[in-house]
Amino acid sequence: MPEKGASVSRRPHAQLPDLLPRLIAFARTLIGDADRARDLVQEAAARALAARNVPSDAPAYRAWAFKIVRNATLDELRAKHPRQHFDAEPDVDLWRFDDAYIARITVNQGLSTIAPAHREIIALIDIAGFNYAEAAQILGVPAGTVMSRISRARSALLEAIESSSIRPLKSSHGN
Amino acid sequence: MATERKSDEVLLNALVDGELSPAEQARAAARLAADRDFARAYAMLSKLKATVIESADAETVGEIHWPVARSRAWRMAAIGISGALAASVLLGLVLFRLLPIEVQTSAAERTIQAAFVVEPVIPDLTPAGLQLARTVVSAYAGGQALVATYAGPRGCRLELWVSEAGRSAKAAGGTERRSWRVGGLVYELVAFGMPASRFEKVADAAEEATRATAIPEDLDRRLIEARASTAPCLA
Repeated sequence: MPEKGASVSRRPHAQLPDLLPRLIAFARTLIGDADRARDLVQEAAARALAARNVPSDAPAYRAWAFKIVRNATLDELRAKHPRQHFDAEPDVDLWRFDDAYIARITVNQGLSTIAPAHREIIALIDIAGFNYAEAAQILGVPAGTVMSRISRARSALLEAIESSSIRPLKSSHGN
Repeated sequence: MATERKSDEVLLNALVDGELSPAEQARAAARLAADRDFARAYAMLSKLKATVIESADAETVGEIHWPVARSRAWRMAAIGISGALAASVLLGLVLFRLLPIEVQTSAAERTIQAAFVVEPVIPDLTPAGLQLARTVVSAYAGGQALVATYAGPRGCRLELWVSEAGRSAKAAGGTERRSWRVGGLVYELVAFGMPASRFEKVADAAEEATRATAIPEDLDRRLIEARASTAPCLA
């Protein structure tokens, strides 16, 4: 049963500070701008504190907080790119790729070029750390859709990495 | 066959994400031991997932103000101020016209390989808040130059020009610049509106990255310091 009103206590929000780094990373992956992602998360945190119905258990609260940030970033994306289809999901083949090009710089570059729906599912599963069932709940789709979407998203990311002209250096700290 | 491969892809991703039941995991383990392509794809997806997580961990959180729960009037005021701040940031983005991200193509890669005997190094300046926005090969009278453009969220823009020594290109404009030579290549880093002290730190890190055969251990730390220590760019 959700607690009502911020006046009940701040306890429902106790985990919000710990969620902030992942919320920012999630927003940054979706909109590709670290400073704007911080602003959006700050606004979302203010909105969360002002909310009347706050989930009381930790997993539900976490999903709720990500939903607020997701809605804010989607609003911004749609405002900036009104003609872009957020749910467009081009399909590519996983088996032909080479893992030699996978590194932080190529992954960051690749994430900025793939379809928003692909960025989103990768952000939810890998960056936010949700399981398929939780991601399905946040997106409002069946778990089977999450399974196929994450598969297509990773293939698209590998394609973006491979088709880029950027190649990683060998790193002395494993990058 | 294609359907089977797609089904294998979904299975592999679920395995990487720890979403399989014990029985499914056992079947997948047997398949990994017997099928080389399957094992290679699994290793690749595991590396991809680990790198995405690592890239998010590297993101600096920066300054976040913990919003304190207050009365409804205060909360409404806070939302109003946040909205005004958001509007000003959006207006700033429009005014500064951030560079669009361009999808790199394998054709571009082939062009670079054809243009340079020694492959240029494009440093990762993400820890300094500078995203690689695009890379293009630009022709000029003496030859060809690879131009990498980095953009930051607060109006920062940097261009890194790479051309072959003896036929080096001269970048136009900019408020700060530094050039250096590595082997047969000339690098020229040009800033547009970046404070000189920050540019020095970014240029030091970029130059070192292009000279190194491996990324220096403390490169990220130095780029983050360069970002934190100075005012926003003016360009």
